[in-house]
Amino acid sequence: MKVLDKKLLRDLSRSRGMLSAIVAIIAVGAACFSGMLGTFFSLEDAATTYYSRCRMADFWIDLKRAPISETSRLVDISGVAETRSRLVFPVVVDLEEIDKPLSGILVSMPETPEPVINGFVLRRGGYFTTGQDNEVIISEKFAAARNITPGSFIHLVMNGRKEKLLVVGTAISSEFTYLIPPGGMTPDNEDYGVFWAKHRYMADRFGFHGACNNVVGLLTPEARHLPGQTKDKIKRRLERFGLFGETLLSEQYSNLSLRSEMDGLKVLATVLPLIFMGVAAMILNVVMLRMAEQQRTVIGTLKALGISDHAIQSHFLKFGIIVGLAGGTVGCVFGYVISLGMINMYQQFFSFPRLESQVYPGIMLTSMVISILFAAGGSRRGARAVIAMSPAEAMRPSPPMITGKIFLERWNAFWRHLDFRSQILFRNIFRNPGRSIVGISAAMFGGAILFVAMGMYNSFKYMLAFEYNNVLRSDYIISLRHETSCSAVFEAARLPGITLAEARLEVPCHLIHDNRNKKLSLTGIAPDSRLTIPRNLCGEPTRMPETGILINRRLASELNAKPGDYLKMIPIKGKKTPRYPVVAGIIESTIGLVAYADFAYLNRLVGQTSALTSLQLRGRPNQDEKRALFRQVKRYPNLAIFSAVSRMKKKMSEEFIQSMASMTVMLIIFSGIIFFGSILNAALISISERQREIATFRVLGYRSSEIGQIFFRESLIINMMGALCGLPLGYLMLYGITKLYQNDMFSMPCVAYPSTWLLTPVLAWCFIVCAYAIISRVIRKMNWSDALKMRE
Amino acid sequence: MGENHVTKAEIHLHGVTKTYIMGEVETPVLRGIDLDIIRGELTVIHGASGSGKSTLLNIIGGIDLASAGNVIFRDHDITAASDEELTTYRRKHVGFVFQFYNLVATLTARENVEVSTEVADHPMSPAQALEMVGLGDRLDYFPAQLSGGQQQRVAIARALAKNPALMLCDEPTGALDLETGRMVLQTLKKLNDELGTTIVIITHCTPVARIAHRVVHLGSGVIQESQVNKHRAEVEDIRW
Repeated sequence: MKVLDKKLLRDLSRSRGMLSAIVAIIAVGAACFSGMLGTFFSLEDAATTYYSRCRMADFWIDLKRAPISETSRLVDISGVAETRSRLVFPVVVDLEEIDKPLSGILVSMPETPEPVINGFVLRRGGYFTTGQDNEVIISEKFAAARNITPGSFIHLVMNGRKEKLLVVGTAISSEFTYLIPPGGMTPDNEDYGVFWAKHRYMADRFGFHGACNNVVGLLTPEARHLPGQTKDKIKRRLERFGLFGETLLSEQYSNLSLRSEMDGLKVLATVLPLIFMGVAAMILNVVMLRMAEQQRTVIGTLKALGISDHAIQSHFLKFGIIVGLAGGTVGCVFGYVISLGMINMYQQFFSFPRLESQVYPGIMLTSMVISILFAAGGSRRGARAVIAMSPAEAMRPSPPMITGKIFLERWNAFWRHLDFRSQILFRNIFRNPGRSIVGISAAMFGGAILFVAMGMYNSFKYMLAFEYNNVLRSDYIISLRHETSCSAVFEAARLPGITLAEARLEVPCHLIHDNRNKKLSLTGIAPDSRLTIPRNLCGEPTRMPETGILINRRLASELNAKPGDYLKMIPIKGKKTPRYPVVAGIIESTIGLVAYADFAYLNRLVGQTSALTSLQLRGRPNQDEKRALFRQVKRYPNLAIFSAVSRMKKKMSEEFIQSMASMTVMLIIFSGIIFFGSILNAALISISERQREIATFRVLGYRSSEIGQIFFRESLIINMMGALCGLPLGYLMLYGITKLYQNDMFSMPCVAYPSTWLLTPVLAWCFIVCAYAIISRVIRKMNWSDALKMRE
Repeated sequence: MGENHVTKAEIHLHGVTKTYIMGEVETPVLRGIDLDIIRGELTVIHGASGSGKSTLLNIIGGIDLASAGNVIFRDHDITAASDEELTTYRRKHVGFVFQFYNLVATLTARENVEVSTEVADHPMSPAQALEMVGLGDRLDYFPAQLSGGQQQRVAIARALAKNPALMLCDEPTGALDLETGRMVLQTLKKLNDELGTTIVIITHCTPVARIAHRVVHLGSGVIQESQVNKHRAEVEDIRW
């Protein structure tokens, strides 16, 4: 080993306290990079394999009813490679041991296993047998949650008739990777599942012989670049069969949810490492500046002995490389742990045949290289100035620091009121501007991460809570298969335990304005509804106008519409006569695209008098009454879906918020590492430079705690300034992140409560105090009498 | 200084000046130095503090550049040498001994010497060099475990280990007491006598000059006097 390398190892060992803080910061950056990107690629790989295995469709077409002879001719359209006509219906699941009617989606499959579009992956049991028709394959998570195994029987209510089916297997399908019940925002594996049955059997039960109500298809590779054009051609071809909707892969709920989650991951995997590595490089730069300054005589001597600049530069560069290597290595290990945790979380929400945290050597290598580059860059710059000096100059003591007045001293009235400690601290801050800026920047990023951590938690929580606590106030929603009259409300009000029942009319339609078209469900509610309460942009309840419609902020922005504008409304079902409702107001909503109208007004708009499509109910929490209610609803022939909203709310807050909370805690810890690393380094450097000053104070009779306070105040000012600067930066970051979670299905608001603005500096203050407990110990243990003997 | 001297000179300085410029203030430190360092001789450059002797030594050693004049090492003009050329010059030909030893605190005595031998062409072994300065039993001691005199002898070992043409010592006894200082001087004199190493010692301590072949008195940046000692004193005979 070369002698300079021996020196390097001993220098590293002597500075291990200071360096371990930097290694920790780099490790967090590397961990975020390798962990989050690793998770991203694990998801990407899992999705790619899964999509290809299931032959995931490029488009979905919902129809009222179309002859299969027609839909199978869609392949004649240029751009369409292959199609499959199938039947898809909502279904009520009647489990004998469960009182509550559960819901699901029933999808037709061929009699024999074929590599069809949107096929499934069998998990347990087998495919349908040839002998029996009443066989069903059910989604794995529902089966697991309800303890249903192949060989058991379940009852499904199809077309109003209860049918007994033999469960032959459990499966998962890529089109239901992220399966959420209608009206929900998170998966509900206990109450909502997917059921696959034989096409012929379903056609029998629903009266769809030779017909279908759903077409899935694949596009040719060329058409995938511009799928919209092919979609338009398909639309035109199928319009006459009652086209309800057409969805491209990029808009499909499950795929969109997965992709927006992955986009978020990718952004975090880029932004977080950049912050941590950047902060580490800045701190390392300061450390190396100090180290080079401390070793200027050594550098001068080495140069005088004929060691080349290049060799000395490499010596200091190796310092950074080793720090980067250590950080990168720890980060890769820690990143794998993060990836395990995240994959574990995603396994709860997404269904994949195989989703595992994989080791990606390429990502780890890149993570190492990035760590080393940042650290080496930071250290190289630090030593450059001293190395550039001539040996003679380097061996001379460094010139004394400029001791002129700082600008604050010009304000005499202010300055003379400061005690000497404050004067010392301000002079130190302003005479080392580079170092102060590094400290402020590190604290700013630390503060910003704290803000983002709390802001993301609050935004997610608010997104769920706003809709389910403020707008949708019912305990249950009964969606009906067919429109019915208002008498159903009175019937529902008489159900056991029900204290309030209200009607809703949902009209799936296109809203058009300014050549922009959005498909959504326009909901009609009673003007004095107590179970659906639209909120204005301030979150206050808003009264439903007698005419016109209320649209939410996102829809208004997508349609470029404002109050007073007339929209063109084309119902998807029925006569499809265009209507022109006026925008009566803009409301707030966190679920995708929302529009409300007065119940009677909407009925008039679609040529009805008092039609309703769903019922919202409020009930007493009495368990006996609940059971009686469930039993009665199960027997309701017009029932399409029964949603227990209050239970869904509880489940969401338990599962979803819990996983958000662990993410928040992780980010808070990361932020703490930045604060700790920055404060420890700044203070240790300051102490080593000011040993004589500390010794002098001790000689004068100051206690180590009193001296520690001088350093503490300096650190407090710099870091609190940084943390406060981190507030607007954090808000901007939070705003950017929430933007990633805004699409046509849900719209995460950027929520920053006063508590977030307040807690960020408070937490920063806690980190500073904790870091200073360590610094105080260093000052207490310092051998100050030696410092007095030091040669200047 | 005759023609004869020039041919025997290891270093020849002609009209060397050095001026430090700090902002608008110019401080002349050397004002036209003509000097020959003769091969095999022990030269003492003597002068008061601020006389410019350290600057002169730095220019001779190639760790600082003259503002004007010529510095010729053997046949090579190093006055305007590049940084790379000066590094090579120091690496191959010059050994330095500093007043405050300038040892690397994190390296042992042997390793401190290795710093120099690793880059030299035909060095002696670090152990041999340390043996020569009487520290053969302190090879693995760190500087903090050695006395001032021992540290300075490690520095001498570091300088001599590469068999330099020139050994330049900047106040080698400046930080030492009389006894330790004598021990260091003894070591240097022995090297000069036995190995014939050309040595330049700068000092403000007048009695040290008595052990030299040649004494140069420097004052206010000019050579005030240069004399040859007809009888060199023994180190034990001098006191300060």
